[in-house]
Amino acid sequence: MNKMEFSEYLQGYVLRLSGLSQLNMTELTRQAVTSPRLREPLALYAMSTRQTQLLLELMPDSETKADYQKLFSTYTYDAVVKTLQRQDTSLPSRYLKVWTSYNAQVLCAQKDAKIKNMMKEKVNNLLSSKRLSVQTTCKALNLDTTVVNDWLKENEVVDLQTAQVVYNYVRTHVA
Amino acid sequence: MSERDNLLSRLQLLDAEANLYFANDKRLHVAIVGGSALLLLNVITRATDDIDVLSISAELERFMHEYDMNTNVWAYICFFPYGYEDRYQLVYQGAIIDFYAVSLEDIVIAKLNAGREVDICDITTPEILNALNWNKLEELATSDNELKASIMNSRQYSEFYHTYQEYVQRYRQEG
Repeated sequence: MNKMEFSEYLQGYVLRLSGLSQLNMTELTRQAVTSPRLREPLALYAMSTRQTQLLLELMPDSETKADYQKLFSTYTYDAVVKTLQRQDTSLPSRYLKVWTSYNAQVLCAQKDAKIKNMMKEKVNNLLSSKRLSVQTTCKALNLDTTVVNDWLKENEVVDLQTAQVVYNYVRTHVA
Repeated sequence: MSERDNLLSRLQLLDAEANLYFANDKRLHVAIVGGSALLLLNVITRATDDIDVLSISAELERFMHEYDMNTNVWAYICFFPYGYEDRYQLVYQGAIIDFYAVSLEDIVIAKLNAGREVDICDITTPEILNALNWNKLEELATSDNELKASIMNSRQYSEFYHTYQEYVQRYRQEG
């Protein structure tokens, strides 16, 4: 799976925060006036899409506009990303929060596969003791034996919940 | 996927990861506050990526950053009514972690205390005003055993009470 770029995350994040279905800068700016949580993600989104001038034109005179002017005159998009990567406190913490959320999202996407793999290894190890079979486990849990076998032997994908249920059952009954 | 489902899948992932490292004979817990708590309580539907945590089992602290959890709110613990833990609501029971949300009324009291623009915006949306139990809010705001028992001093309480009265007068009819 390709790692999501920060710019891609920002597009999705401003849409999710605003509840809009399209990236319309006029509408996003209108919402940012009354929704403080949208302001920093919107500034970063505008930087990533070279729409900073438009954002400044649309934003009414306010403290937020002054903050935007300062940010846009100090950083290019590449520079702001490098500053965020360094966790540099010269940027207000509200911007760092957006970066932290992005990193957590990327990490969680990778973790899902990693955790299921770790569970698979542990289940396979426990089952190798021959004190419990896949068939018995699946019967007890009312799961499809083929699906679980494919996961354990053929690298097929199962959902996290199934992996965890199997792992806990085997762990409890073999260990 | 709804924002709530998105958040729940992250909690499920944390539970699964913790499940790999800890025996499942001891229950662990996370108490969530802020926007994530309101999302889990089905009070709001808006996106929120970071998870504000009011209390967490020591075993889980090392996972917090990767899951975009923070305990910044600990510095403001005196903003919460004294008995907030008694009103925790179980929002997701994992294999080894119980996830709780702080009650809506406790969150509103804490946000009125904080008084930042972003906090006030959060608690004046129609969905919050409709879901609030105003009698419960009044009890937490005025009882000797609740906010009065937590807050630092009488001056701070007077400031809170002034904000609280304004909030009630302005928004109770809408709720």
